[in-house]
Amino acid sequence: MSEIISVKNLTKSYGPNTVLSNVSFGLEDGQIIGLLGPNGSGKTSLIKILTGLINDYDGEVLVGGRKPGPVSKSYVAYLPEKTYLASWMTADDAVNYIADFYDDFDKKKAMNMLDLFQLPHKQKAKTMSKGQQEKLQLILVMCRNAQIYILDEPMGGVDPAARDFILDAIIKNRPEGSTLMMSTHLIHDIEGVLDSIIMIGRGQLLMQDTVSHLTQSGKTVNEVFKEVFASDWQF
Amino acid sequence: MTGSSEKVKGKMLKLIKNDFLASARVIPLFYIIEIAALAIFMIGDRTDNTKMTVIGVAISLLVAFLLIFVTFFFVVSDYFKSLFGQQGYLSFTLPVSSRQLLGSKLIVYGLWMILSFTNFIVVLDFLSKYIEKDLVGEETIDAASSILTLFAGFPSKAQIVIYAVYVIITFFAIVLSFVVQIYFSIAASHMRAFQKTSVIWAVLIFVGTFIVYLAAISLLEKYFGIYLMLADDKSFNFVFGNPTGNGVELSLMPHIFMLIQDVVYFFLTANIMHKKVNIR
Repeated sequence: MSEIISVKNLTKSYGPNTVLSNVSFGLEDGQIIGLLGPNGSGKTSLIKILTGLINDYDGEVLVGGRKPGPVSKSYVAYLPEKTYLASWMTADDAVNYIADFYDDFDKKKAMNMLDLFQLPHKQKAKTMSKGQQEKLQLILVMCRNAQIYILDEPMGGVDPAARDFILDAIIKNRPEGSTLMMSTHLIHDIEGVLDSIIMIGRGQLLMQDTVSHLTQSGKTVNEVFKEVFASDWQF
Repeated sequence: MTGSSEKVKGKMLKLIKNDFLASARVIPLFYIIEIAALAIFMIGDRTDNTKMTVIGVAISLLVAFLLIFVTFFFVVSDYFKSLFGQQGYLSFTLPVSSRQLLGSKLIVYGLWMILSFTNFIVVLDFLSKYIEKDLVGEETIDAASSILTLFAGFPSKAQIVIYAVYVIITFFAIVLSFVVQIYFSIAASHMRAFQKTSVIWAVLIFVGTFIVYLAAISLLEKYFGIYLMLADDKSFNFVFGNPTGNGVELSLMPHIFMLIQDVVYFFLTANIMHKKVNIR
């Protein structure tokens, strides 16, 4: 397997605040990776750099062998933590919009998934609940046949009952051989599907390991996470 | 992933299409109201119904005037929302460059702005022609004379055409330059240093760019003037330095400066969008 994401000596600062400090790691393709860390650890900044939303940083970042930019964006599917749909867009508008820009988008599948998720085709985004908007965005992302999926807290705003459904939709719709990176606080919910994890704290890479290696001692990923981020990390 | 570069280049038309669709939800409604109001005016005029005529004139003038502000509101709000609001998460992760994102908005909203100003002028012209047709005898001659005095200094028809083209180009250039300066101001106000009070900074930066523009034009015209002279012998040629006072002289320096300024602001804005803006 080759490295699909390569990060070397990545440092990102906002004024005097350094949010990522000399972070280096490589990810092999075809894996499901959990990006784990407490609030303010630098996960979202790392994701924004990988997806080309932040471009002023020090270090080297390669996604699919290219620096994040217009080309890498064509094979990276990104689900941000925020709802990003224009208020005037209906579900159908959103599907057509994404279909216009991404050649790997499966429009027919998206239309079917709107029905499966019971989302009205003609309802405007501004009148949808937050949960409906998140589901719609998930459809827009998972109906792409992308090579890399980067999901920022995909189950953050979803009620516990719907989490399994969402996770199932993500895993089932991910094309074989693609790479999936998810950041989440809900480690317990996703650890069963993860191949490897990256733990970030205070802008530094604290751990990168495979789940099979990590759990050899009998501990779960959630327990390891709690050990790594002991109470002093909360202050 | 190697074939992806070519695919990225073909997305500009899609951006323009989607920016047009986003803007076409509201603005065309005003044009429909405008047409309806003009129709009311014409019917009122032909049937000698004073009430209808007055209502038609009032609504069409009001809508033509409002359209300029509505379009301006869309120029600002769509740019602001779709790039610097949460919608930016969608816009900035499309497989297009910042220059393409900016270029598309400039084309679509620049054209809407030009259309709204043109509409205002056309409506005024249309209404004035209807009013003029009711003038009789000496009134008609007076109206025609007052128009002709505008072109008193032009010795040939070709020169009047050149002047008309000059005025139209000036008008379009000012409108486009205005939009470019607004986009630059909004992008610059979203740099980290200004982000917390971005609205105030956007206004201040815009005022700053406008003052720089006026000062630069004034200095350049004073020391490096370039004029298109429409001479009395029906010829036209370029004059460098100060105006000669012979015939009609059209200053070209503001246009040259505007063009350079627009190009500089375009690349600066695209660079700020690419490098300095962090969507929240």
